[in-house]
Amino acid sequence: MSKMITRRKFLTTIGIGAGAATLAACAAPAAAPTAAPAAPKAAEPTKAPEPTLAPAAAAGAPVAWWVGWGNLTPAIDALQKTPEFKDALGANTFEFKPGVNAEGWLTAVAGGTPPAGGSNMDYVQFMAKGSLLDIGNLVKASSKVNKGMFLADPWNNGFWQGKQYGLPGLEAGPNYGLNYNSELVKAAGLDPDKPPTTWEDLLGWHRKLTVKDASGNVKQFGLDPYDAMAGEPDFAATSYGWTWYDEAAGKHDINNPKMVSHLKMTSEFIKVIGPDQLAGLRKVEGNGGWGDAYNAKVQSMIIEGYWHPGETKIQKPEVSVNNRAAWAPVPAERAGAKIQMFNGHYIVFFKDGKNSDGMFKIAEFMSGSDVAGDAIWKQVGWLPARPAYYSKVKGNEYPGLQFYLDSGTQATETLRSPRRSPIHGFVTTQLSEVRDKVARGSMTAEQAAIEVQKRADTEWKNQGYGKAA
Amino acid sequence: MASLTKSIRNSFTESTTQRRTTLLGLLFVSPWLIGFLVFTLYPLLSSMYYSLTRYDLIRPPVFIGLDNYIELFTDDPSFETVMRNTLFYVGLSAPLGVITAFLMANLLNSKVVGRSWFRAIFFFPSIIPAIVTAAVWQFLLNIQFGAINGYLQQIGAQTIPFLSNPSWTKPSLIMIHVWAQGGAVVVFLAALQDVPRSLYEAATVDGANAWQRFKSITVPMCTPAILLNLVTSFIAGFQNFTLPNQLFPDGGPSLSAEMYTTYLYRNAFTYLRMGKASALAWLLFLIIIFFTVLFFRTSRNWVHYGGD
Repeated sequence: MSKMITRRKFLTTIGIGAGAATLAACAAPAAAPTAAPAAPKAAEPTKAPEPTLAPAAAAGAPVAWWVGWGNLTPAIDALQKTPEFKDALGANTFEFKPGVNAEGWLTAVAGGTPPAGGSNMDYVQFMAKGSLLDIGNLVKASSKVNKGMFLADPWNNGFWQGKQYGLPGLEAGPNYGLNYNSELVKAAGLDPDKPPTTWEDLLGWHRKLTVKDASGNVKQFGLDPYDAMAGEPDFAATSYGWTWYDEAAGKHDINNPKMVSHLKMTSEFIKVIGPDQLAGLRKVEGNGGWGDAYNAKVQSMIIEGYWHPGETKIQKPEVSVNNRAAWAPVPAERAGAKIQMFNGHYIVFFKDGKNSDGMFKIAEFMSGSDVAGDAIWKQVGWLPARPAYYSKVKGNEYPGLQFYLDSGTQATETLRSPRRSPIHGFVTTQLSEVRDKVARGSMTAEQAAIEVQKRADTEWKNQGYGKAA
Repeated sequence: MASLTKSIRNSFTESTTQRRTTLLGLLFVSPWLIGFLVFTLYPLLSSMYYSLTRYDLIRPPVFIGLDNYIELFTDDPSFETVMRNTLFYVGLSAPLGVITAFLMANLLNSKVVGRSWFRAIFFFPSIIPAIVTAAVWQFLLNIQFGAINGYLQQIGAQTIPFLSNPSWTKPSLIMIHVWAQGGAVVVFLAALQDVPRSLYEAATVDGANAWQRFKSITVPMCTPAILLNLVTSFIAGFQNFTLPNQLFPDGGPSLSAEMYTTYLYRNAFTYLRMGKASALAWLLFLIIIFFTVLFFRTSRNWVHYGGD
């Protein structure tokens, strides 16, 4: 018998080998070894089992928490070294993933592989579409978190149609205020002790604070009326005094005379800068992102929340020393109105996420512990959603902060339910298109309001939310 | 009929060696076959089904018939804008790109000093990733900080809002497309080198000048390559995504730079309208088929193949 291997046999062997290797590679991976061998924690006396809606995970299972932004990372890194965090984590392992964008969330949920917990995202979209876990029973059974600990509005906004999906576990506080750089204000010959309170007066400041060179380049400007919180339809509505989305009725009110007034007013701000110049300026690194131009001292004023003083101090201390905060503007016919809105960021739990119980313990720690509160406050500039913690905070810790701490009791109008429309993102995108057209004169403010109303009604219907308003 | 029956019967009675050969053949082709079925055919058929549904990737799809298609034509003002933007871009960028590439190839085919060096330079933009291209042009074209406007300001000229004015956004995208024609230039260079020298020699003897030789010999002999580049440019133009998405992530001022594919992506991943996005994808397929067939039909009148 010949011991020579024929070409056919050689190819057959290679083919079968390659096929087997491919099949082996496609096969489900063997169970990964658990992070630690039966930790002593498991032997400790355990509390009565807490009710859970997700399958209980074995000890030593990973707890995955994704967040949409990147600035939480230093605080989480520090927290992971604390005994309190380790206690909350127990025998589990922790997987923290910052900077997850909208596509990342969506594909993970659609693919059935979301993390256990998520934060800094479009919460309502996932609440409305039923991909989040109702944590009502977990909260009821918890000895570490309860309704009474939290600011009312951020707590209530974690609910959707009677079910609780979000724990205000990251931050919360007053969202509206006009922050301005007192150094630039003084240089423009304005009095930083008398900030404008109406859009009309603010436009006067904006004109004086906008500086162009001989070639028409914008060296500095007053306010981008759509930067940061000012870009949200909620803010326009609160400032001008109407409700743009009626959650109970599922109706949008965009074609409203007040929206028309807002579009007209904000287009005046853009005209002062120049629509082309503003668009160009925003495309440059360091001037394009949320609040960037303020930190670069190119933008002199910005409508932001309580986090602005802290974030600015941490990111740009030299700019922070001149930061001041005052009431966000209202139109002249509403002069005297002091508007505010309390909202925050949640930890939500995905239905398909693994180890929801483990994640809930982390959420309890993040929401209810001063250790977590301190780390985030010092390293990120965000406050926890607990009034008890607010009483510990000094208003002079971050320039401009005192205004926000006082605003809760001084506000005359408070928006209770922000960002509740499931097509909030769609409407914001449409407004961004039409407001540019209004500023360029290719559309009137009236036409813009009618157009966005029509688009919102159509989208509402086509997304299956019911009949249009 | 009898022969068919016989053939089927034979297939059952084929020798063990033949069966083994067939099985081996199937085994060898199976990686591709599985890949095709799982990663091409299944998504293709799925997207056709999804285009007939209301589907947000989270909840199960709900069959709504042709509603997504009807919405595009009757109830979606952005679609009209996007179609206008895309047709403007494709209608100008594809022919301009092909003409530029053809002229550059002719220059690079002539006997100039440093020809290889020039060829490499002109090809270079084609191998730069689109993300990098976008970043470079961002720095060049910005109205305030861009190099081109910086130079214009230095000589006292008016700045040009290339990327920040609705009138300039599409021409800027076309300009960037025309800049990166290295791939088409290579195809044209190959075609030019295939033109028989004897034709030029005969024309020269007949007294034809350079322009007449170009018009009557070079262009007709290169028409197959022109057709190829035109068709591929049209298809690539309709599918252009990375550059507009990087330069104008929000669709550009007044939605002036929102292209078909960026709008499709926005519907799928921002508005969670995967059903509508699938309808957009199938409509794009039909649009591309229409233009491709149109080119091939009309090519009978202007494309000259060797031996015609």
